[in-house]
Formats: sequence, C-alpha cells, structure tokens
Amino acid sequence: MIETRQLYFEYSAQTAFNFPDLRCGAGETLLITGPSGTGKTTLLHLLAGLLTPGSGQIEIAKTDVGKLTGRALDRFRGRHIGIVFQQAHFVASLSVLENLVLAGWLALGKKDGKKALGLLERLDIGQQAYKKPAQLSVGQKQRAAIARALMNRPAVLLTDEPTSNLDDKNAWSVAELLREQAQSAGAALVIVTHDHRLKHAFHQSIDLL
Amino acid sequence: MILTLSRKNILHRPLNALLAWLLLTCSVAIISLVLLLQGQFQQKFEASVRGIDLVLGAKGSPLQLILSAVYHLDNPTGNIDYAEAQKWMNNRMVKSAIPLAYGDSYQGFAMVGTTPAYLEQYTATLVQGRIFQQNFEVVIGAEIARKGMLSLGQNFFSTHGAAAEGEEHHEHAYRVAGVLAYTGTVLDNLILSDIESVWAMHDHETEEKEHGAEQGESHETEEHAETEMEAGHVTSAEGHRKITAVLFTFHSPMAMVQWPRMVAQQTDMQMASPAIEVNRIFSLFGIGIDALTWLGWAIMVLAALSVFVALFNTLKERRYELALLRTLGGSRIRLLCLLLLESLWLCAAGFASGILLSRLAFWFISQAAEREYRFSLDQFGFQWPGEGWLLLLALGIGLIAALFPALKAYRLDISKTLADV
Repeated sequence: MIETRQLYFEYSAQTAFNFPDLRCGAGETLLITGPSGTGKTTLLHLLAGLLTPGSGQIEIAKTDVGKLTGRALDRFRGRHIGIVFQQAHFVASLSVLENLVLAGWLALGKKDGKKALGLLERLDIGQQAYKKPAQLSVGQKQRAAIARALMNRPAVLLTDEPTSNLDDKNAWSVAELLREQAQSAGAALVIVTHDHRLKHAFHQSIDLL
Repeated sequence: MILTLSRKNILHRPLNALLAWLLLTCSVAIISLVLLLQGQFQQKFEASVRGIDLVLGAKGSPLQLILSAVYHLDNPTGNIDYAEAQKWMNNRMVKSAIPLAYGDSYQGFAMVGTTPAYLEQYTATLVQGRIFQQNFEVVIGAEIARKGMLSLGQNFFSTHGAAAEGEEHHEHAYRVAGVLAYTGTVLDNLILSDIESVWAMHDHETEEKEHGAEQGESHETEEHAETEMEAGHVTSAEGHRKITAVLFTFHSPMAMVQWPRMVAQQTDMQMASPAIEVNRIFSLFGIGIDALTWLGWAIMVLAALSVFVALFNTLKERRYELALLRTLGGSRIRLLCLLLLESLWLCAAGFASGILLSRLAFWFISQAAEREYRFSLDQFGFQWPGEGWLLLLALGIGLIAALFPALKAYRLDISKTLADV
C-alpha cells in the first residue's frame, strides 16, 4: 500500500515538479505514464526513497518515507520496497542465486537460499540460478531482477519501463507476469513507463504532464 | 556475506588483483627476508662473540683475525709463539685467556686445539661422553653429530689443512670422547681437542719432513716455525710452541683500551676487538641491507598504488552495482567496508604469500651458507616484532589505498547514478 500527498521536488528553481496525489493498495496496480521530462524517473526515485521530497508525504506501509534518513531509510528501502529497473543491474561477481540471497541479507540480515531458489523457480529461471548474471539473456535478467525485487516480500513493487524494449507479445507477458507476482506477494505494483500499450492492460493510471 | 562478496569481487577481476598481489608479495618478501637475515646474522655473530673482549693473533688484517679466530669463517692470519702469548695471558688483568691452535680438519669441519675454558666461554654442556682429557681425544659440536659425520667413540683420521680433500694424517687416529649440546655458536661446527694433540700431530709431520718428504704445503708461518724449531734442535720445548690465536676476557675495561696499542708496539703480534670488527662487518652489510630494505619499501608503495588504481578503475564500471546495493537496503557504511575489505584481502594475501616466499628464499640462502661457510641459518619462525609491524603496515597501506575509492562509494549519489543509464 502506497499513498502520496502534495508531493513536490526541485532540482533547481527551473526544474521543479508538483506531482499529482496517487494511491495504490496491496495487490493493485497503478500505471504512471507521461512523456520524457515530466519527472517520471524523479517520481520513481522519490517513491523508492532514493530522493528526499522537497515537501509533501509519501506513505508506504504506514511510514512516512520522506521523514526517514540515513541508515533507517536504507533499511526501510531494503525491507519494504522492491525495485525493478529498466536495465537489470546485478552484482557481477555473484551468481544469480547469490544476488537474491544478498538482497535478503542486506535487508533482513539473514541468508535464505531456499526462498531465493523458490522465487527463481516460480519465475521459470530456476535453471539459471548458479550462472553469473552476464550469462543470462535480457529476458532472463529481467525475470531475475523481478525475483530479486520480491525477495523480501515488499509492500510496494516499483518498476521502471519494464516493457519499453520489448515487442508487443513479450510486453504483454511481462505485464501479466508483474501483475501476477505482485498480486501473489500482496504488493502494490507501480509501473512507471512511457509505453502506451500498457494502458490497455491496466486500468488505474495517472498521466504526468 | 560482505566478506564473501568482497572476496568474490576481487576474484572477479583477476588481472587487477594479480598485479597488486604480486607487488605486495614481492615487497613483503624482500623486507621480511632482510629482517630474517639481519636477525639471524646478528644473533649468530653476537652469540659467538659473547664475552670475548680481545683476540690476540699474528699480524695482518684485524677483520681476518676476528673472522678466523672467533667465527672460523676465514683463514688464520698466521701463527704466534705460545711462550710470547703466555706473557700476556698470565697478566693479572686477564679474567680468562683461551689459546686456539688450528691444524687439521675432518670432512671440512675445522679441528681446534684448545683448553676446556673454550667450552666454558660458550657455557657449552656435554650431551654424551666427557671432555677431552688425553691426547687425540676430541669433543664434537652438535651440528657435526646431528649430520652423522662422527659419533661417540668413533676413531678417525684428520686431514691436513681446512680442505675436505686434503692429505690424511694416518699416523694418529683421533677418538670422539664427547658430544656437545647445541649452543647456537661456532662451537656447533667445530671438533675440539687439547693443544698437545695438534702439536704432536705436527711434530710428527716435522720429523717426516726432516726425512725428506717435503710436501707442497703453503703454510708460510708454519714452515718458518718449523725451521726455527729445527734450528733450536728442540721440538718439544714449550718455548717454541706455536698457536694460532688467544681469546681474551678482562677484569677491567682498561686493558681493552690499552692492550691493542701495547701489543702492536712491543711485539710482532696484534690484538683486535671483535665488537669493533663485527660492527665493521655490519656497516659493510648495512649498505646492502639498507638498499634492499628501501627497494622493499619502494615496491610496497607501488603495490599500494596498484591497489588504489585497481579499485579506482573498477569504481566507474561498478557504480551501478554499488548503487544497487544501496537500493537493496545496504547502508553507506557497508559500501565503505566492502571496498576497504577488498583491499585488505589483497594485502593480507600479499603478506601471507610474501612471508612464505621470504622463507623459501631464506631456505635457499641457508643451504648455500651451510655449504660454503658451514654457517647454519635456522630461524624460520615469525620475526617478532619486525614482521608484526610489517603486517600492520601492509594492512595500513591497504586501508590508505582503499580510503579514497571507499569514500567515493560512501558518497555515491544513488539517484543520479541510476538515472544516468
């Protein structure tokens, strides 16, 4: 569950953003669309706690994220927010499985290989578990990134342009996959994209202007 | 987990790591080898000089006199007249005076005629048998017994001179009467008898020579002595006996200052101070050792630089990775630790392999020293505190080299890094 009120952020006086209020419950999906330069990435980073808002509130799991700082923010982010970036980044020296285990360890302080393997299997990439991320195809990497984002059962799953590099067929299946996984994990799914095709797949959407 | 991650990160870029590791290994190996050698030489040299204030011997190089009389590393400067030497030995300022008569050898181990005071000087104890009491009885050093060259009760013939392949004296057999405990001094590699044995052996030789069996030996002073003896017609008279050197210990330091000059003015002998000559050796060694030590430090600085460059270079390609760790809940401090640990792994590995390498080099050197000089180097243990400092230094350098990259990781702006795809 995620909710924002009167969110404002400025890089400088010239580049300032007023974001519309948004709300997305557990198991629901919210699409945030808009052309380049309307602050999509900025909003995503605000929601993820990577940027601190100028004013306004972001509430995730009954916590005002904007008020958290330092170590507490890092811990909260790891524990409650799952992020899938447009380009899947991994720790190159670790296997896919170890990358998932690392995510669990950083947030919760314990290593859960069984859970990680279960997630990879649920996303159909169980066989890639012991490979290095560089050996995976683009599609497999994206699935591994989704699996990692779900590792700590986050309250919110944030995704950045998950489909923009894909053809229609694959875009659909990734959209489906995200919805499925978010629903079964009980997470609020927020998709930030300029891909208009997704508007047909998800009903709740907000346009940034 | 962070330990595993830092280790895997290093192994992920083996070439970067290899260079830093090799440089560290080399620098640690050189410095630790210097420490080993220094410690070992100093210990050996000081152990053997223990309590000896001055050495009396034939004129020549004082360094050579000390090397030959105290360390048995060089040829003697010549022989001196025993009666002449006794005038000095019986002085009341003298606490102890140990005569040494060099003569033969056995399998390359020097045989020395002396008095039991020589054993007392090094507080040597017997592990087997008893001390030499009659002519042609010997006591052998621990190292000779260990190598199985001789054992208690064994009879053997000595060889003339110091070379292992010299001509054997078949007239008199020596018998091993005792075996000394390990002392860590020159005694370990010596065969000791009383002086009379050495004289008896060479009296016999003189007779032989008188009968026309002149050998091509090049003992100038000895031959000189022999002709003197023949001139005096007394081969057994005490007054014409020759010895090689006398080791002096004094009651008062006054003698140590005055005697060398007095001896030089009044006799054709010389007196040299082991302390002064050993210092000269160390200052000669010192230049080489200093140079080697500086080389070690220089390579260590290079190693630090290479660790820095390795970390700094990968920082650019790893910035997404580091930002990612932050989004996954990793704190700034964790990233800082990660980079510091990567450097520390390298340095610890470099230190460990450097220590091993130095031991290997030391082993080769000790083999060579053993072969060439019968000078055994055997302290392979950790050189405390020198190598303790070296470890701290290696880790400290690792920390310093990683500090800047680690601080950069600490200050990484995650939002900016991730937006900049």
